[in-house]
Amino acid sequence: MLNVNIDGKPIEVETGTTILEAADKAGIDIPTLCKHEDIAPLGTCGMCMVEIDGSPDYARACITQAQEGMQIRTHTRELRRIKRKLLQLVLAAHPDDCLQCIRHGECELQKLAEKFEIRDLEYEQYTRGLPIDSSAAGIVRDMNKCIGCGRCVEVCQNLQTVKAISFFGRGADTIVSPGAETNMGSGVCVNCGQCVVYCPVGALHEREQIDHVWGAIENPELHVAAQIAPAVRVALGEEFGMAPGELVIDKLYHALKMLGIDTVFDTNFSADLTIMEEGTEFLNRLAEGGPFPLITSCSPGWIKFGETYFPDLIENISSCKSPQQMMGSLIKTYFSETRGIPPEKIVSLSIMPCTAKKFEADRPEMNDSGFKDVDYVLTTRELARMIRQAGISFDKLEGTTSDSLLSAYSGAGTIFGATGGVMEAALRTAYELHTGKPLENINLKAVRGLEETKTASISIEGEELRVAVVHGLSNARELLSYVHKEQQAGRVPYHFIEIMACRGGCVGGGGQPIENSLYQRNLRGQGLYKEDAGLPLRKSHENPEVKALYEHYLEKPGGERSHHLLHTHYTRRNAYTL
Amino acid sequence: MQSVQLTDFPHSPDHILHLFHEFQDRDSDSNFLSSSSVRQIAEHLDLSMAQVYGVLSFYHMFSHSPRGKYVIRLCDSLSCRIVGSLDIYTYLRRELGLQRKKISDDGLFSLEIVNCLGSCHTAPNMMINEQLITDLTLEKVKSTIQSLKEEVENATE
Amino acid sequence: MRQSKVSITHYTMKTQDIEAYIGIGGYHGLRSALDMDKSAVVKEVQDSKLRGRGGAGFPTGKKWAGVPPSEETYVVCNADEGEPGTFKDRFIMENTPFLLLEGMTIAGYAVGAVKGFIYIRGEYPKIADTLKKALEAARSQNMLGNNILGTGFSFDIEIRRGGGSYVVGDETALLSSLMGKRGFPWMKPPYPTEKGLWDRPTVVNNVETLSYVPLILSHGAAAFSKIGAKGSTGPKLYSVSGHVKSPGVYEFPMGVRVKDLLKAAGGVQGQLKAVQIGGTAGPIYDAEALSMQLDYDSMQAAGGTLGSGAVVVMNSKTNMAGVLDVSMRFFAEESCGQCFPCRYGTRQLNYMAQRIAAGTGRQSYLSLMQDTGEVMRATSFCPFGQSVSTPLNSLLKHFGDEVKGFIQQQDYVKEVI
Repeated sequence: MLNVNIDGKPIEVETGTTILEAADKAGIDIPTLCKHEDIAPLGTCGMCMVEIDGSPDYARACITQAQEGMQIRTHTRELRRIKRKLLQLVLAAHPDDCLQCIRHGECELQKLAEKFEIRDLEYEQYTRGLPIDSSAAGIVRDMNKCIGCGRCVEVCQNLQTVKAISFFGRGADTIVSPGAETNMGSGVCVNCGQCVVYCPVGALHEREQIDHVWGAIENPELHVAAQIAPAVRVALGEEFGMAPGELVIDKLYHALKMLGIDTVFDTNFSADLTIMEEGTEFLNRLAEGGPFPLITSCSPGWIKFGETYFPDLIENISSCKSPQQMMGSLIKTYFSETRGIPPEKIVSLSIMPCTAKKFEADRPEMNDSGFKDVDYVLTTRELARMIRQAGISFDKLEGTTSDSLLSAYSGAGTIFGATGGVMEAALRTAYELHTGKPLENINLKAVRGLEETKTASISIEGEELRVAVVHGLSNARELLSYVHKEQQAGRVPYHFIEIMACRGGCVGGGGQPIENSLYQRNLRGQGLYKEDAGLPLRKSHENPEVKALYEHYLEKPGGERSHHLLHTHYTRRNAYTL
Repeated sequence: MQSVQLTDFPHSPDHILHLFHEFQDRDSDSNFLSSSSVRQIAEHLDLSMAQVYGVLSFYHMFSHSPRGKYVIRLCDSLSCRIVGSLDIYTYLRRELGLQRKKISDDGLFSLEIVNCLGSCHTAPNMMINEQLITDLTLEKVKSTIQSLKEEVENATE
Repeated sequence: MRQSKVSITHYTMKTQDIEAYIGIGGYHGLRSALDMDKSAVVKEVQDSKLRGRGGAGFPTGKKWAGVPPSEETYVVCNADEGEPGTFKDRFIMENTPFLLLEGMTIAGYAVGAVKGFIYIRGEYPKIADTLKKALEAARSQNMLGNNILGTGFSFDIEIRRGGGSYVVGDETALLSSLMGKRGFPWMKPPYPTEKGLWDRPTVVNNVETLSYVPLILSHGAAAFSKIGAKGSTGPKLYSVSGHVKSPGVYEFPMGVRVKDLLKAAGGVQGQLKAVQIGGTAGPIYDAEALSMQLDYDSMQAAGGTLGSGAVVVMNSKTNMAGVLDVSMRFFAEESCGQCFPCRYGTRQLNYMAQRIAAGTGRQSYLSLMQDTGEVMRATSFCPFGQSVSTPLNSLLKHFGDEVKGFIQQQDYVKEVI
């Protein structure tokens, strides 16, 4: 421990603490445009300069460690003057179309400009006139707005190891790019959207589909059937001033109905269904002796990553569609037949925490119903915009229920939204289906939480099953490299692996509210586990609507119809094919 | 264009600049790194396309778009500027028709400004591809361009 | 090609032939070093008070002494001579490549390295070939490679070409580039001597610095430190260019006065107006420069820097708005773009300087440019952006009136829509 003094306030911090962290502890906010609590310091923006007594130069608070006895000042007259000039330099290179910008009100540059009272620019403003890259299904890249902080590059290269974007060019012309002749749609980008949620400005954002959805709602010929992913229900409230992790599912059903959605289903239902199919697949592999490990397939960011970087492991990936796509094909078949609405009149809409779900819905093979299984995907953020457009006071809304048929869910379905949730849900069911005995302790805490790689072993009738859970694609890459190596040596390190592309799982998806740090992700995950604990049904195979679905329509898990509607296949991709 | 023997190079990213030089030099008509070259380099070094383009675009000497057969790098450092580099620049742009274009109509020349060629005692200087040409005067520039044009004409005859 | 003139020491031994080099005393330094304990070699260099000739002036022996023991230590020669007005390293490598190789081998022995890299700027392809041939020759004489001169010491050197980037001349940026990355500098500590190439201890020394090492080992630290000025020992290569009658590389003891250097270079062509010393980041002086002494401490005391030892002479016909324009364009084009102040600041400075030189500048530009330079000095990540204000302020101090003349006298009136 050591003692420093910041703006006259003494504070004791641990050795190795940066000045920025020390100030935060002292309740002093040092401005920054590049530092993010989840990302290693980049030191690029220069906004966190502080004055240290006895030092002739200012220091970057984000990369300078506090030393015993340091006297630090964060907002002297001179520092304010310098930072205002620096902000002006940034703003002169930034389009001044804030009112039309997707990040208006949530832009870190805008907030600092306001904080520092930038009312006029002494510098000549210029724009770069760069084309907007909207080639990717989930993400739009507008480099005119990029301030070059480097967070997205750090996230894509190191936290996700997708390596889809890099700095390109140099000096004032530097942008973030997938390459000279590659765009976001044609390169290795997996649409995870982690670059989006860490972007301080509007340079990277989701591809919006709000207009299409309004069009479908307003068309009297069309029946709009929506589904809501697990992770949305513990995050959407944040858009309306509620706390991260607060469960708002009942309000959400109501809001969707008020928007004019005809039928509201719940992806938690198809999460339970996924467990039935994937659990069966796992038990079949157990019976047949492999291939192991079985790897979950719910996270479309991970799927494209796996197809690109681990094509040899494709047969290890579960053939189950994700809950979104299972629901999509059921809406256009089972629901269509049950309600007598022709599938061509149904618009299937999903509300997702995820930008990669937009890519997944657009995959050419996702049309087993004979139609596009999911027509539109809205992120949590887009739905919040629609709710605001409709003038709905979401926080004051009464709750209501969803529509029957594809909505009932167990606690196992809801925890799909958090890292470890799919594994826990699967084991709850697989154990019982395999042994015929109820699982004594259904809270598998070993696979919960934000630890990067979680492993456990479960004994099922004397057989030791090793499982692993990873979230964040760098962790997936590390684990899979190990698995691949072991496989080549003829060993099976794990039987079952859950992979989620985003840290924290879907609660930290690229479509979630912009303030999407590990802090929020953790609280949202806890919100889901809390809901699970309070539900009457905790296991997927107890879901009555799932049972009814098998009884009336699918016959049995892994059956022929299931295979047709609920399972898919994967494509070997080459990271170097343009 | 001759191909580069990739097996001569270790699979290690620190060879990337060397590979850039090799591939670019082999493309002797347009002096650039095509997307196919970039792909080969990326695969060989186990880097992503974005990573390779990121490095390529950082360095002045490499281009991801085609250039002339002869890339003229005219030095406009202080030492060259004060002895006439600007006049040579103006002359070359006009003579080669490069006011609005990046490559001369005959496909032979492109012109770049560099910030020092490290031969200030012989200013003004330029490089044409790997050849340093010193003590420039307008006459010398004129005759150099002329002889390169003739060389190409003779070669095609 | 004009011949560069050298006055005192061993640079007269112009030879690309190793036998001739050995014949005139070459590799005597390496032989002496190999007879010594490696810590004694470090001490000898420390005692010589040799300081880095690349620009920073860090004591070379101190740098070597800071290398922790490691299985894998590297010596990197910074031959990325990009500083405008500087051509001394070219001179060494073209004329006496073995001097560099010998110095580097001694450095390798002293710090316990197994491998050295010469990172040579991409714009020197012919010199890279010269060096490659020299490496072959040195290996054939067992001055390089396995078991050098039968002493059990093994060391080899590889040439790496750059791709055209000024910033890569900074030692950390150079190491980034050498590892195949964008040439971004990194924040020290850790210093390269602790964690450099692939996180291994790495000594980065300039060509000229290494080329003086054999001299120290063969003649002794005392002989070396007797030459030069207090705090800046030994001889130094000065690159003189611009409006002098015989531009070239001149070797003088550290501390030579500018007027003596210019005299050696044949004197000024026409009437002296301005001198820039130390490179693009150095101040631009008026005739006051003539009395200055070219060594680290004297230049620092005069508010400048010795830098690479570049001296660019401008006569009365020089257009100082053009000088401002060239200088600011240099910073804008060579900024790596990593940090905001430098990326955006150099862009704006370049824009304003261009407008001024074209006669369309505004009155407000001069103070805005100086303010911008100050912001960059305070907030830029590396010395590159921090140093813009040096040439800018000095140019405006001495030649502000001339530059103002380029600005339309009427204040620009903002169009109000």
